[in-house]
Amino acid sequence: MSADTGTPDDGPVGGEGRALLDAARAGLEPSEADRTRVRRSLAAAIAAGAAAATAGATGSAAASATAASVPLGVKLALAAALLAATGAGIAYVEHVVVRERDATRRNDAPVARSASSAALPGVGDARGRVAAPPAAQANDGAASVALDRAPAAAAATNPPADARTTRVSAPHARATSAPSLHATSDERPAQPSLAALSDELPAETALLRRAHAALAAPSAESARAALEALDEHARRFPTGTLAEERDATRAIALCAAGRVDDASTAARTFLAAHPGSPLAHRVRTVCTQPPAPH
Amino acid sequence: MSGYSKVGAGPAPSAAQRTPAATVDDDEVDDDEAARAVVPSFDEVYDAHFSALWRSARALGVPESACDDVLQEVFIVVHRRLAEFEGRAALRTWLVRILVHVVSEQRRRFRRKEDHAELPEEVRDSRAPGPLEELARAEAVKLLATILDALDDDQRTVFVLAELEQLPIPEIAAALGLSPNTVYSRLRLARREYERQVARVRARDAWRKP
Repeated sequence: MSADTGTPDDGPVGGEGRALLDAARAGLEPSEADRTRVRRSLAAAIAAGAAAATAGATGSAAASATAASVPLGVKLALAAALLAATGAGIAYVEHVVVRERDATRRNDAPVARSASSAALPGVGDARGRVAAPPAAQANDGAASVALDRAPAAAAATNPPADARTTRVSAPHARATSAPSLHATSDERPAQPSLAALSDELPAETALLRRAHAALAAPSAESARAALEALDEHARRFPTGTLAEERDATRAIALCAAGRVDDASTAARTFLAAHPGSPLAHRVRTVCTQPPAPH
Repeated sequence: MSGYSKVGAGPAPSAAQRTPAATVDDDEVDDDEAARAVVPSFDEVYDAHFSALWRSARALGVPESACDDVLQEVFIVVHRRLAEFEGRAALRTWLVRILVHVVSEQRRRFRRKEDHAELPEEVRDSRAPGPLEELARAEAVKLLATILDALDDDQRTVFVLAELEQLPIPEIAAALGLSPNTVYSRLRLARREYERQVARVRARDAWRKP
């Protein structure tokens, strides 16, 4: 059939109309940069959601829904809970705010909305199930259970090959998580694995939380517990997303454990590696405050 | 859908790493294994369907500047729900359903903001076609957008899925939750309107065949 000779009511578009569709089709394709950019911001959004999910120890559907809908807010709450105890809270929160604001600058509204659109009537209908909560819970559950498992088991899910990938990708995603309109297929050929990122951040967060929870109690013993958690983090996520926070916390924990010399060494190392860190001030003054009793 | 075939062949550890629900319990490993044989990983879905979903979003009238948000929204839903997808429905149908939902939400917002008239100003493409080809493409995209804007939203959706994405009518019906007959009659009207617009454009001599 041909559009040039008048169009029958039925049958696909042909003629010029078809040619236009075909020509436009190619032009509507996303570029590699589009693909990469969206993937990056997705990784950030999903990782933020995953981290937030672990914050809710209650793990209720409501908490999950909130976690998914306001990753920024929840991540802040998480960050505050994480570090408020040590006094590094404010700096950390600012740090996260800046990072998250950049990461979600273009995306926070849609992400927030997606919690409600996750309850897509259509999607739910087709499955004959309630929409968001079960899915969210399933994932959250997986995350928290994975966290609670013995380190060995968790480590087993990070075979060397994968660890290598994420070691590269996680810090990268973090460093460049601010999506640029003119990103950047030239930065790096490999793309961060979303799944790896969203799997790992909860585990990283849990370890740091454990460390900070331990540090809240002023005893040499709890300081050692904190150091153990930090060691585990260092072992499993040497260049993880929260490596900077870990190293800062280590200096604090060493001081709390009464290992003043080690603390200053750790502090110096940290400051050399992260001179511009929002945690720098806290680390610089480590052990200048009255040491914890031991 | 290449995603389906790839998954089962993948090495277990990396598959476990990539499937959010896979770490729940060792006892469930076997079940997960079975599930993974059907459900592709998120990365695979992303790789296999990103282009088509982006293209559809554009054709459905999402301005290029809003495509990131729309696609991100779509894939966040996918990420959250993929584990329970279980391959019971065609993956593509499911994705289209999500996309159409997100786009219609987005349309509502943009209609209000009145800035949806934006047309793509450029065609960026790393495959670097010649300037003429690129120009022709950009022209075609712009022209198609003008013509599709003349269709109402329902017709446009059906038309894009059928004519641009070449999805079969039953699949479109499933994705939109409509009867095939409804889809068909919308499509017929949409085609007629499309042809009319093409003829009008040709009459105005605003477009040459690429």
